[in-house]
Amino acid sequence: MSISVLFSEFLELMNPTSIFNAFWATGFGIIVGMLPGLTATMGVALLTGLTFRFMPEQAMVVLISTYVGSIYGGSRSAILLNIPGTPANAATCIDGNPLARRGEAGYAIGLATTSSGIGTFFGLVCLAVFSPLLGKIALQFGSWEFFVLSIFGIVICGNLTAPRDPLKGWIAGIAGLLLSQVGQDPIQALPRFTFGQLQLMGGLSLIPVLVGAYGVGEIIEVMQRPRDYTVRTKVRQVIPPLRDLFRYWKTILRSGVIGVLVGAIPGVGEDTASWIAYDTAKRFSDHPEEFGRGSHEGLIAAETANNACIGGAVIPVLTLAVPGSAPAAVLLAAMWLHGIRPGPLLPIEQPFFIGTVTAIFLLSTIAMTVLGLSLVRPLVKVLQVPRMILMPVVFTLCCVGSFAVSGRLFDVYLMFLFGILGYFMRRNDFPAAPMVLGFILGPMADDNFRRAMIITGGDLSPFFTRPISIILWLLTLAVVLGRSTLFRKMLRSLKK
Amino acid sequence: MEKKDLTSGIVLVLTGAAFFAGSLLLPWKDTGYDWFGAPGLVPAILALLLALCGLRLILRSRKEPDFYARLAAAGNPLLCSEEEEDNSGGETAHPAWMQKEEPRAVLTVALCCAYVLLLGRAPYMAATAAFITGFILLFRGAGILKALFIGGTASVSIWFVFYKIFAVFLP
Repeated sequence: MSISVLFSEFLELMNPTSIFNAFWATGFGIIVGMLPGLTATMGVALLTGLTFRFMPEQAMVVLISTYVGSIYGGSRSAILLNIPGTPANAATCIDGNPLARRGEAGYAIGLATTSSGIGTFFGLVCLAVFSPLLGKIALQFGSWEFFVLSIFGIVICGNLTAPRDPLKGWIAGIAGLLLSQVGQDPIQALPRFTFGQLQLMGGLSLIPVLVGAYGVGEIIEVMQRPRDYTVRTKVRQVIPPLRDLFRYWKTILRSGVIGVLVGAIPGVGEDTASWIAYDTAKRFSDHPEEFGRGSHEGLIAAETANNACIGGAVIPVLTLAVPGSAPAAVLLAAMWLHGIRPGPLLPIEQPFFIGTVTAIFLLSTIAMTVLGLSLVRPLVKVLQVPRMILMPVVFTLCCVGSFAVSGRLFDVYLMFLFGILGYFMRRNDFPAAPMVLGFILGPMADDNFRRAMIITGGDLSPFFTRPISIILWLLTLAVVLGRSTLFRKMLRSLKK
Repeated sequence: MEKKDLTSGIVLVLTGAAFFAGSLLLPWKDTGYDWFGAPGLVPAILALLLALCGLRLILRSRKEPDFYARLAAAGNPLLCSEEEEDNSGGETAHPAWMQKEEPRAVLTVALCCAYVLLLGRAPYMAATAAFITGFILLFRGAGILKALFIGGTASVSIWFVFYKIFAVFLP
């Protein structure tokens, strides 16, 4: 994509409506992100329903700004409370909170804000450069590759979002795939698992499922904790830390690359990106002993990576219609709702859409940096609202968001049921991200598998002989075998 | 956690079996294609995979009772420990029952369930105000007057912002 296209798209966006939407949505995102228990996925899912009647471009402005704002916003509670506002900010706690405890809360917030801004900017540059390239490769994909890609996505997402026990990640992914089979099948329109219910004919709606699994599940989890959090650190002034940014430019660049790469892997997301970037920064640091005690470098690494991951996660959304993270999955669903069809044909059908998305990212990066550096005290006040006041309001918004898309009470009941399911999944260590990814990829896997089988008359061999499929299978196999104890023992004995 | 895994495994095997049976009941012949175009093919494979994974979970919980202890000992850089997340140093709830997790979770689910059932049966603003007020009062978030004020203000604000400004239908 040429810079002139990006520039003209950005200029087109610079109208009062877009700027207003970008600023309030980023602010909303920051608040959602900074409140422990409310995640970026929930924030984006909530606004997907609520912006259903917006023009597509304005809805994208709102949703992308919320996404960017919420991933950044989580750093506030990580620094001030030692509680990550979203899972993406868990690594930020390690150095952010010690800085706040020794009276450098303002400096830490400044560091997190500028690192997040740079990270998002790095992500949007990669989005602009690599989306068209990946789009060209995606044009080579047939039904076989799309099916193998969906399997690859589930396996790798299950593996990385449940690093302790990948079996549970894979189970969540398979469950998501299976739940997506409810409703009419995509080839013959025959009802499956509908039990004669008309409301199930169109399948389980994505937004209620997402809002339930992420939003309601989180509300129950937040409310069940006997201890409430309190802000004890005082923040006076946020200082943009230019000296540190120049000093740690290598860390910033490395973390940005890690963020984008992890983001581009289906379903993995910002939390994994920030942990890997943090760990890598520690390995390469001249002062690894400072990590965990308020290291500026550690904080920069974590915050750059999680925001760079956003751009990375949107690359496969636009080119392959495969989400790179859970919030990106909601973004993909929102695009479908607004009649935008991401995938290999997007550059042909809507040639300027990638440019528009990149320009929206730029606008939201500006909004995030401005709001992050200016609204310090009001945002701290939000953290002081007790959860027993906040959570019922959030639940009512979840209900409105689920109802708004189709105007059916059935979707509200569905959201509530998935909320309870999401809660039990958390309690039993099953990650929600693979289930969401499976739910999104399910129709694609089913449709492409059966189409491919029909084309070849039941011959499975093209799934294993086409070049892109072979690469994806080998990667999938490497991920599965890498977690197998037997395989590790074999490797060890071979080395000996 | 091993006991929870056993329960989860049983639920997964039963769910997989139910979906597998459901898939077999779908039409496999006269669909215009051969068996490989049948609508039950992919759900049947997925259901089988789910049941097998559930079985693996059951077997692991029986054969490896120290599975989670070994994991904890090994550690993992991609994990944020629970201690890290819960180290908030915040206020503790006062009544005795509020200091236990289960009653709090049950109360939250019950209140949310009541609200969901109330939607569509009672006027939206009244239901929302009652839910928010009740929630705040039962969790001892504020006194009666303050809770009523918050409930009323929140329900009117939600109605105004979403119905009037965003033109979103409310339940």
